[in-house]
Amino acid sequence: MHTLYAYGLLLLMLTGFLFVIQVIMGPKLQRSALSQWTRTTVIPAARGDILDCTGKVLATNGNVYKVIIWPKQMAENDRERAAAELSRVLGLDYETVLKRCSSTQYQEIVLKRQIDSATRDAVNALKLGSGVGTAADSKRYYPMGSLLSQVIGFTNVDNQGQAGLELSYDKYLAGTDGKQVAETDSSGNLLAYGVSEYIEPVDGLQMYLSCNSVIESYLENALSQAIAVNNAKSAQGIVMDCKTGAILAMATKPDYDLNSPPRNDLELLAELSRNRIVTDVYEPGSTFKILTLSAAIDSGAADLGSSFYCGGSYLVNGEKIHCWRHAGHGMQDLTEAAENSCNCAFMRMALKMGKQTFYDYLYAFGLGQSTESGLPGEVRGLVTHEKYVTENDLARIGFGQSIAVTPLQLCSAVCAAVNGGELHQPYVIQRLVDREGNTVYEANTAPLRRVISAETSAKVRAILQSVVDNGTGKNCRIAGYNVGGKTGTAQKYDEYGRVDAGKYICSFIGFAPADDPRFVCLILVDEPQVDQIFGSTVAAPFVKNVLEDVLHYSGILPSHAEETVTVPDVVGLTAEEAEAKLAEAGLTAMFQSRDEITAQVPAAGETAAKGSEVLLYTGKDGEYDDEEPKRYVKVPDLKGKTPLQAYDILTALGIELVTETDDPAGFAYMQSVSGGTVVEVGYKLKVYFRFENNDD
Amino acid sequence: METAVQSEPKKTPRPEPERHHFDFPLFITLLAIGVFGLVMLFSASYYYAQVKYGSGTYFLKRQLIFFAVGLTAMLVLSNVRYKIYRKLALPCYIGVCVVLALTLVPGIGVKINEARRWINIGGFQFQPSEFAKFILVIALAAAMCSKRLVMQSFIQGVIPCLFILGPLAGLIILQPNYSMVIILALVTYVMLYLGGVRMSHRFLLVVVGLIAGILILYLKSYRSNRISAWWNPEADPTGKSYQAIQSRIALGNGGFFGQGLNFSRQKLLFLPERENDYILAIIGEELGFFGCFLLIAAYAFAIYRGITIALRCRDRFGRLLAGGIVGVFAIQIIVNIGVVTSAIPSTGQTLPLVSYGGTSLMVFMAAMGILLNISRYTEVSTQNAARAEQQ
Repeated sequence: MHTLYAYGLLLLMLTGFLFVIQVIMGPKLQRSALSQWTRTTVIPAARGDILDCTGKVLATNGNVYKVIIWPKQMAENDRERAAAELSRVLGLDYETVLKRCSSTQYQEIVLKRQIDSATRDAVNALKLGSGVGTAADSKRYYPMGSLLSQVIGFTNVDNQGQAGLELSYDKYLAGTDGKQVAETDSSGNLLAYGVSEYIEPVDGLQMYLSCNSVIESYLENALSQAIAVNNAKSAQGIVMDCKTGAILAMATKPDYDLNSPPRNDLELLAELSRNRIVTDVYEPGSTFKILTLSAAIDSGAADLGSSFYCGGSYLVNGEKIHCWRHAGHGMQDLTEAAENSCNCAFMRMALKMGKQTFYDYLYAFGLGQSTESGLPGEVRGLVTHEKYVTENDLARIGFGQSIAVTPLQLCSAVCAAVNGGELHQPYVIQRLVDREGNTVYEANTAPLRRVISAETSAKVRAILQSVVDNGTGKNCRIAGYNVGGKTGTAQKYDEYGRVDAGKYICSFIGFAPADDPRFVCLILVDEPQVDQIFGSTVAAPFVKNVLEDVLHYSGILPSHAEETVTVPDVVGLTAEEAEAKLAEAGLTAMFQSRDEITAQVPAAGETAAKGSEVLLYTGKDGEYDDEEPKRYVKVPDLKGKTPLQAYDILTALGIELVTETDDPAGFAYMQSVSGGTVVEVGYKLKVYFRFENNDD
Repeated sequence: METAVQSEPKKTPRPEPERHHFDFPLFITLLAIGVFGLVMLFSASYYYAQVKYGSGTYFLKRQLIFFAVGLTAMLVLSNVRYKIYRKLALPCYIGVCVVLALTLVPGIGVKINEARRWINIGGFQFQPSEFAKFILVIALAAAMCSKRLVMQSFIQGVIPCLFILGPLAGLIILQPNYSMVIILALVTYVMLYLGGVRMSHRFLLVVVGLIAGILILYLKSYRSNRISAWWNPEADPTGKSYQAIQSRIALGNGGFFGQGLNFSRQKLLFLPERENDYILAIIGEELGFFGCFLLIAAYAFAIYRGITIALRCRDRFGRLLAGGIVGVFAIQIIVNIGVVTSAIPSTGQTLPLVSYGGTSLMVFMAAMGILLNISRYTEVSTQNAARAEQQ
C-alpha cells in the first residue's frame, strides 16, 4: 500500500508540473514560439517616381533581381558545391558564401541584390535545389543622369534615400512594405492547410517637382560655361517663378551622375551632393543692395528724388568705410546710386532707416530663417542679432557685407522685392500623388506676407532695369526684353573669418520681364580666375543666357523691337582683329587683356542687341585689378584745416587720411607729403594736427 | 464457507481461491490507454512519416502490428498460470543475458548513434533491455521467495539480489544505456522493499547507488551535458536543450483544453522524438492539460488496480511479481512525464502503451497479461490474502 502512496504522490506532483507549464506558463511559451512557427516574407512597396513639373521622369525604378538562400533547406553535403557555383556566378568570395550557406540559424539570407536578368538566369540554370532562389528586386534609375543631381539625391542598395529629396522625403517615396506571414514546419516548408496572412504593400507617392527639366538644362549649361570661361572652382544657380515661389531650376556645378555616384570617395560625394543653394551661406555683396533699396524706399528713408554724395568713403563712428570706387561717385540720385552700386549711398540708407526698421524688413524678407523649402540640410544664414549690431555693422549690411545668406534666401527675397512686394514660400515639390491619382499634397503658392508695397516694388523694378540698361548690369541686356538686375562681388573668408585675398564670389541676380517680372535668376561663380573679377562680367552674361532661353521657352513675347545682330566668331583671333570684326558687326569688344582670344560670350551665332558688349577671354590668369585704371591726384595743402575739413577734401580726391591719434583735434600744421605732389588714388596721407596756441 | 473459516481457522490451510475471471476494470483501462495511444501516435507521427517515408501511416501500421501481437500475448499470458515463472526464472535470466551480450557483437547488434541497443529480427528491431526489466522482476521475485526467511540479513538476503541485478546492469552499461540501468536499479529497490528488506539496508543501498551513479555520470561527458542542459536550458536553446525547450513549448501551446486533435504545431518537426519519448508533449498540445490529466488518471487507476492485485494475492511469489510489474509500469510513467516536463534530465524512456516502439509496447502488454493472470487467483479482500500468506 505504501508503494501506491509513493506512486500517487509522484504522479500528483508531475500533474502539478504539467498544470504550471500548460496553464500558467502557456501563453508566454506560445508567444515565444510564434517566430519559429511562421515565415515572414516582405513584399516590397514600389518607390515613388520623381517627375518634373511637365511629367518628365527624373527618378524611377528598374526591374532587377536578388538571390536568396534558405540555409536550412540546403542539403548539408551540397553546401560546398552550391557555395562554389554561387560565388563564381555572382562574383562573391567563396568563404563568405559558404559561411552564409551554413548559417542554419537564419531562415533566409539575401545573398546578393540588384543583379540583372542575365545573372538571374545563370543562377537559376545552376539548379541548386530549393535552398537557393531568385526574386524580384528594384533599383533606382535616373533617366536624366546628372540633371538636378543635388536636388534629387540618390538611394542605397536597400532603396533608402541617402541624399537630396530621396533622403528628406524618404518616408513618402518609400511607401510601406507589405508582408506575407505563412505557417511553416521546422524546415521552413509551407503548410498545406496553413493559414497565411497577407498585408498588401502601399506603394510610395509620385513626387512632382516644381522644376522644369528644360529650364534646368538651360541653367546647367550656363553654369558649365561660366566655370569654363572663368576658370572658376564652382558655380551655382537658381531660377524661380517670382509669382508663385516655385523653384524652376537649381543647380550646383560640378555635379555627378545620379546613376553612379562616386560612393568610393565619400568626401568627394559629400562635396558633390551638397545642394549648396540651401546648405551654404555667403556674403552676398552688392546684390543685397536690392533689399536695402526696397526697405529704404518703402520706409520712406529714400525716394527717387533723394540724392547721395559719395566721396569714396563714409565715416561711421570714426571708422572710415570705403566705397568700392575709392575716387567716389560724387553727387547721385537714387537711380544713379543703384546704377553705380555706390556703397556710400547704401550705407546712408541703412543708417537712416536705423536698426529697428531695417531689421524688420530683413526679417520680413525671410533672412535669418530657413525658407522651409523642404530641401535637406537647409541653413538659416547668419544675421547678427539686433542687440549686438553696431552702427558700423548696420552700414556694412546696407551694401551686403557683415551678413550671410543662402542663395535661395536671397533669390526668394528678391522675388518679393520685384513681384509687387509679396513674399512667397519657395518650394521644390509641386505635389505628391498616390497611385490612384489622388493628390495628397499640393504646394502652397499663396503669398506668405506682404513685405513692401506694390508702389515700392514698381520703383525698385524701374531702378533695377536702369541698372541693366545704363549701369553695372549691362551685360545682362536681352534684345527685345526689359530686364532688371544687380551685380555682386563678394570677398570670401577663410576658416578663421579673415578675408581670403584674391578669392571672390561673383554673382548676378536678374529678372525678366522687368515691368511684370516672372522669372528671377541668380548665378554665383565661385573663385573665378580671370583678370577682371566683377559680377558684371563673370556672372551677368550667363544670367542673360538663362533668362533669354527661359523667356523664349515660355513664349513670352518681346516688349519692343530691337535691332539685333549675329555675333561673329572671334575665337583664335588677336585682340585687334577681334575688335575690328566685332565693330564691323556693330558690337563692342570688351577685353580682359590684349592677347589671343580663347573664348567669347555671347558665343558665335547667338543674337545680341546691336551695340552690346562681347566679352573676350584670353585664358591668361591675371591678378585682381581695380576696376578703374590707376589714377593720380595732386595732394592739397591742408595747413590750418580742421580734421573734418581735411577728411572731406582728401576723401573727395580719393586720398586716405591717416592721423597720429584716434581722435585728432586742432588744426593741420604738417603733412607727410607736401602740397602739390602727385600721388596715386588711395594714397595714405599722414596729417598732424594741433591747436594754434601751442604752435610756437 | 464462511462458517467453515470461522470454526476452523488454524487447523486446515485455506483452500486456494478458485480461478476466477481476471480483473476486468484493469483490462479495460489498459485497452483504453492502448487504443488512445494508437490514435495519438498517428496524430503525432503522420507529418514526420509523410516527410521521411512518404507515407503518413508508416508508424501507425508498424505500431498496429505490435499492438496486435502484444494484445494476443496479453490474452494468452493471462491464461498461463503465473507460478510457472518461478521455475522459468533462471532459464529466462540466462537467456536475456545471452541476448544482451549479442547486442554488443558487431553484425548481430544494430548500432544507432554510437549505441548498440538493438537486434534485428526479420526487419524489426528489438531492444532486449526492454525484456530485461521484466526478467529482472521475475528473477528477483523468485529469489526472494527462496530466501524469504533470510531477507532481514544483508549478506544472505540483499547481496544475492544485487548479484541478479549486476550482470544485467553491466551488459546494459556496455551498450551503453545508462537511463535503462537507472530504471533497473529503481525496480530492484522497489522489489527489495516489497521483499521486506530492512530500512537501514535499503538506506545503505541508496547511498551506495548515488555515489556509483555520480561516478559513472562524470565518466562520460554526454551524460553530464544532459544534466547541465536540464539545469540551465537557456545556455544552449538550439543545441543541448532544444528538446526540453520544444517540449515545454508544445505543452504551453496546449493550454488547458489544447489546440484540438491533429492541431499540434510542434509535431511539424519542431519537437524531436514526437512519436516516441515526447508523445505526451503532443498529447498536451492537442488535448491540453485536461487530456494529460485524464491519461494520468487512467494510469493511476491501472496502478491502483495492479497494487490491489498484488495485495490480494495470497502467495509471496505472486505478490512480488505483481508488485514488480506494477513498479516497472509506474516508474516508467513517472520518468517519462518527468522528462517531458523537464522535471528531471532527459533519459529516453517510453511512455508505456502509448509511445512508438514495438518492443516496449509488446513487452508491457505481455507483462500486463501476467498481471491479469495473477488477478485470477486473488482473494476477495486484502485481509484474507494476508492471513492466508501467514499460514
